Amino acid sequence: MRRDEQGHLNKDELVMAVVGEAGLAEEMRKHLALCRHCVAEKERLARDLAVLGEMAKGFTPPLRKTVIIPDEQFFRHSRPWGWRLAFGTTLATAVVVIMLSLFLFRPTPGVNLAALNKEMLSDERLMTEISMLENNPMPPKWEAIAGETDSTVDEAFIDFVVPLGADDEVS
Amino acid sequence: MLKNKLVWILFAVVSLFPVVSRAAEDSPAGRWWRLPQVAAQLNLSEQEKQQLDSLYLENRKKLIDLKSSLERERLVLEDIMDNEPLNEQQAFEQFRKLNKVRSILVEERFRYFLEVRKIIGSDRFQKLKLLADAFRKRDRFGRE
Repeated sequence: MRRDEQGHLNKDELVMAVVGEAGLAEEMRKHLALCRHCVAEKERLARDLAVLGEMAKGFTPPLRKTVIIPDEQFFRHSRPWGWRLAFGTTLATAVVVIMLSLFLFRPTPGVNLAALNKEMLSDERLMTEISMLENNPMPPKWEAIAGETDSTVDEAFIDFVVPLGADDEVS
Repeated sequence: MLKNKLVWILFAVVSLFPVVSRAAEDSPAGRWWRLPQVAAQLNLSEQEKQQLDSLYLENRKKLIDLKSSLERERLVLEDIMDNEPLNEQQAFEQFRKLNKVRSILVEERFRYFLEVRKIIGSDRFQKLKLLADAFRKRDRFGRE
């Protein structure tokens, strides 16, 4: 904004003079110190601004909520019963439940009766075979020749193996 | 005729073989100590059960090996007996071999029984025999 012919301060420079003279150039500050007109303009502007400030206050509703700066807000929300506590509690509960489940429902060896019975049957078969071998290690087909009693061998089979009256022919 | 006589002799020897494992034959099959009711009746500790587990495993491994050996020797004897002319000496040698394996097998069964007796002690051993009888009367040991 241009200055007038007498070198008075323009509006911007007057505003600057109200806000703080330090912002003005040296030449302007000297002029302001000597010029009654500029001083009067500056005081008038200051008064107008003061009135405007008062009017603004009148139109501004009173503050009902405390303004919290971001850092303060962060610290207020980080209290122990926040998300972290909820997450920690859930995690701890889950761990306890898992541990209890493992303890209560673990497959204990020897309690599985079905598998144990199967194993016992299998072992019984093995031991029966071993007993038979102990009692008679000879080949089963020799039993009839040796006269071993076996209910599964009928007389016809014995006759076939050892025909009556044919002893001399058998070598 | 010679073969017939030899077979008779072999069976006579077999029938005279002392039945050391008679008691072992009466023992229940499998891991009876893992049956809850038996374990409770005999008041078996977990350590004793584990000892019996180890004994059982070792014994059954040996028995399976010995059974295979016995069957193999039996097969060899059978082959010798089928040969013509018959080598009587070879047949007897093979029979003695067979009988030796058999005696080891019997001994191994008896050893198992002996070890069970050592693990569970005299009183519980007597109780086990009674339990085994009772269960056997119910068809199978621990099973219905």
